[in-house]
Amino acid sequence: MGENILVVDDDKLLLQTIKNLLEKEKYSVTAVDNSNKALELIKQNFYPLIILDVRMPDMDGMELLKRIRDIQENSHTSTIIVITGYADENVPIKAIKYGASDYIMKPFDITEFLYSVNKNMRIARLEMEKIKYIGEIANKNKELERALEELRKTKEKLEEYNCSLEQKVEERAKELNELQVQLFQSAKMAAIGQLGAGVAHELNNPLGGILGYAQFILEKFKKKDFKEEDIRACQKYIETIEKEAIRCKKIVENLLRFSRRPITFKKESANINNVVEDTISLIHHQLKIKNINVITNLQPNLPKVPLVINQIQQVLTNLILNAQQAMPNGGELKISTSKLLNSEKTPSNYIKIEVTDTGVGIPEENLPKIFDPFFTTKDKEKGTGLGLSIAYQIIQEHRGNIEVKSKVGEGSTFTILIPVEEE
Amino acid sequence: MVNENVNILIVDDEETIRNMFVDILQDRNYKVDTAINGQEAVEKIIEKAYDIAFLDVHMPIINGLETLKIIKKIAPRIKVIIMDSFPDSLTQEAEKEGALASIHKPFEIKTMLEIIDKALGINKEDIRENV
Repeated sequence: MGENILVVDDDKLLLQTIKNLLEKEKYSVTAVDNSNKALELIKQNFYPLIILDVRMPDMDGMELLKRIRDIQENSHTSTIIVITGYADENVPIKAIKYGASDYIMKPFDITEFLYSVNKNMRIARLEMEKIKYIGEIANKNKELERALEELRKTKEKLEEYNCSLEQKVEERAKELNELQVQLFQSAKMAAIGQLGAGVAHELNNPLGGILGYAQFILEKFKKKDFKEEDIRACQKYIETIEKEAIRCKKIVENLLRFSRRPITFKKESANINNVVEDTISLIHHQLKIKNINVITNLQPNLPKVPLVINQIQQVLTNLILNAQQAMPNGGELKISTSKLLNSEKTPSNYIKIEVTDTGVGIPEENLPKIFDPFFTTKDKEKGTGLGLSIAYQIIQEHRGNIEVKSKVGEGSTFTILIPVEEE
Repeated sequence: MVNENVNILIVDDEETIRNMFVDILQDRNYKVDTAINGQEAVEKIIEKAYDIAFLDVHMPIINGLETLKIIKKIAPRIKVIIMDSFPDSLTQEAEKEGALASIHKPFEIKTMLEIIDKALGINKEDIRENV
């Protein structure tokens, strides 16, 4: 209410009449009597409703409409009512083509006139609201676009961070893997330190044969009455030397194979009994020296199991060395293998390996910590406390399980379960 | 003392070591018997009077030290020589328990013969004194 209406008519009387009428209707009215003045005003102000007479002396009505449209091209557009005479035939239609909204024919009825003004003012208001809403929507849109742009930038940054994070994680995983490999190798070397003495002792027996027979043969060659039978005897002795040298070679190979740093941790299908026997051959002499009787109970025809052989040897060596240390005055070491069939307890088939000693046993309060890293009851020179925790890790990586049962004064049994590959 | 009258017992669980002693010592006319462990050694000592026994210190079931103690009880006259690959605590204990000496594997023929002479040398003095 109270909106501004511009009335343009060269008929001063009509102009005034219309002005009075509209002001009575509580509109505010600007009245001008020529087109150029009107155009000036329109340039400076916005009139939601313009009423103009189409027949004016200074400008053609269509021309005026066109000019108004030009002025308002990029801004708010006014609703325009044109006043035409009856005589003007195509004017109303033409005017509407040129952008007028409505037309009133002279002479006109006041009621009709007002009705048209009010009607068109409603249109003008709607138009203004529409423009207002369009403006608001445009603003909201801009805000949204800004927000979207920020979101996009944030997403880009996140992706960058993610990439570099993934890289860092990969690098760190590689580092950790390398460290784990080193750790396993160190633990293995520590075990080899303990095995080394046993192996050295073991080598001295075949070497004794080699040295003794070599010297004996040289003696024979120095004899003045070197006979046919001496040749045959020497041949036999040389064969013994050869046999003992090959035995030395095997003993050394065994140890080197175990101490070698593995290239991969790839699992291969293996017979657990062979692995047990190879491990025992590495260590049996040492056990003999310590007065430990080794009993093996290896079930024949066990199914093959996917193993990292070097690692399983490391586990068994660790268990056997621990057993040896638990029996400082000698005792019995029993190693058995068997197949554990599918049952409610185990969802698939397992190979069971048991290592039992008749040693001092493990106190009950220590049993839950036995596989913890760095847990040890030995003094520093004898143990780092890593052996069993690494053994535990290795068995976990074979999807298996390792447990201990023990009684102080009686001995301990370590049980390893490794699942058989499902065919 | 003539070699033919010297009875030597070799106690070692290693076949090569036993064979080597037999080949080398019999070539020199010593009388040589062998045993693969302490138990067999004691059985043989009960049957025959040995002058010298070579005893490996690390043997299964009864180790060299235990065997030595038994020998010193049932046949104290036998000169016992301990064999091992490197002197360790067992060797020291053996010498305390009355072993004459120890030799370390691998040893040379020379060493074997010297130690036999040493063992017999002491016997020779005993005999001279008794006369």
